[in-house]
Amino acid sequence: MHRGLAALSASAVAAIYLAGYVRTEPADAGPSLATETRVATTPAPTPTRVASTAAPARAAPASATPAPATATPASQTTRGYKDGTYTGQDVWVQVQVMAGRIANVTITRSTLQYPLRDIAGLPQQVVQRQTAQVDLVSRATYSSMAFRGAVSQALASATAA
Amino acid sequence: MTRLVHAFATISMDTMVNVQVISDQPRAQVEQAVQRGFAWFDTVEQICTRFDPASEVMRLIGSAGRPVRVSTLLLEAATFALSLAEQTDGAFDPTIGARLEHMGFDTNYKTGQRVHSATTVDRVSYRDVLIDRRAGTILLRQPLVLDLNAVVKGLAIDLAVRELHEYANLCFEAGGDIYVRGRNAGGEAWHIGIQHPRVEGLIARSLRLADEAVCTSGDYERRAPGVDGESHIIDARTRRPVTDLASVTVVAPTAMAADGLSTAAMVLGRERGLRFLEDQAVGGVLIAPDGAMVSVNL
Repeated sequence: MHRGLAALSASAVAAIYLAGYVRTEPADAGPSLATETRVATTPAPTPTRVASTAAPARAAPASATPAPATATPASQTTRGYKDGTYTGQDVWVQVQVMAGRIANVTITRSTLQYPLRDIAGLPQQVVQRQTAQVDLVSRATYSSMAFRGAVSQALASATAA
Repeated sequence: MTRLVHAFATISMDTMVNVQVISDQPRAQVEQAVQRGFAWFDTVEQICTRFDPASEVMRLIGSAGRPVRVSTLLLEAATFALSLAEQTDGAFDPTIGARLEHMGFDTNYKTGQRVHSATTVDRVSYRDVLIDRRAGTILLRQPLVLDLNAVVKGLAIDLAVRELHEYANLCFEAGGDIYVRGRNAGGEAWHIGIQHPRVEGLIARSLRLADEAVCTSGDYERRAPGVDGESHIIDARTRRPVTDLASVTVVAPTAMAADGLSTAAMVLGRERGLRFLEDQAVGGVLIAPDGAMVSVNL
């Protein structure tokens, strides 16, 4: 005998949203986690421009150094990547796109204490993987490979669909 | 008409969070809403993480035996997790947090610190968690670790996309859990692939979706360091990892439901998991370790 869990989840989300940002105040002990994630972003490393367009895929807090904030025009049918160099916040990933193909991927720096060794194999894999037939991939999250998968999806989000 | 794709990314909940908004608005304007969405991730994590003894859910341990007034967020997340436990007859059980710690899922991804809670590991179940919704309280009958990880990532996605309510076309993805709305940049329904659980990079099946969430739970996710072959999908009754499913993907109206139900179906195993998803009227794709695939309502 099952009650509709989908409906229950929808009302839960609505209730939480209506209650607003009720953040648990940093209790007696320990710093708030939120302040850690919201680290001020330092300017991106100078991107290596390899093509005409630079479309940064970064979410910068208001205080951050303004990036060349251009959006990527969505061209009608072209699958593949828009030429340019892409970066991301917190973890800086540079993706060089040449002639619509991923030419090179470099993880330039991370502002979080992530085990970056986990993503050492990423660049080559992403370069090999560029024939994505889908907008997004639903997958279980990896651990040792977590970052690799996650970052490659971040790259996918820089797709000029 | 020119349509713009605005892409943003951040890290929260030990995973990469990506959003694409398709809108004619300037990036700066979209970004404000996206940042509000990202802020929900931090809020949810801060309240629900079991990797920080100071989080609201972990502070319950110290108050075991008496009711504690909690935030709406924790109340709702815990209520949903307990409903999931009840409706799977305890196969899914959010009170196995301490057991997960013992299996090695114990390291705070931000600080690298390991957590070890002074709790009862065995002989606790979801029945030891009493929620009084009217009073807004949670009572732990024993000191136990509530593990809400099966629902909080989805919940955060749902809250985040609410912040983006004015945008008709978007996708929001956190570590492989996805919510899509409207159409992609090409003007088509979003095209979502399901990762094959055994072959990296291979799409087992693809779906065309709009205004729905997709989450996948798999035996290949987040293996504990040094605990060979043990995944964190555990049947709470047998205390053993599940073996007859490699992954379960659920398509549901909310990411919270897709997240929770995919985990629940995974622990139920192939036969019962399939029936469960059928009863819940959500879409599902179940893949066995040998690659055999069965789907429901899709």
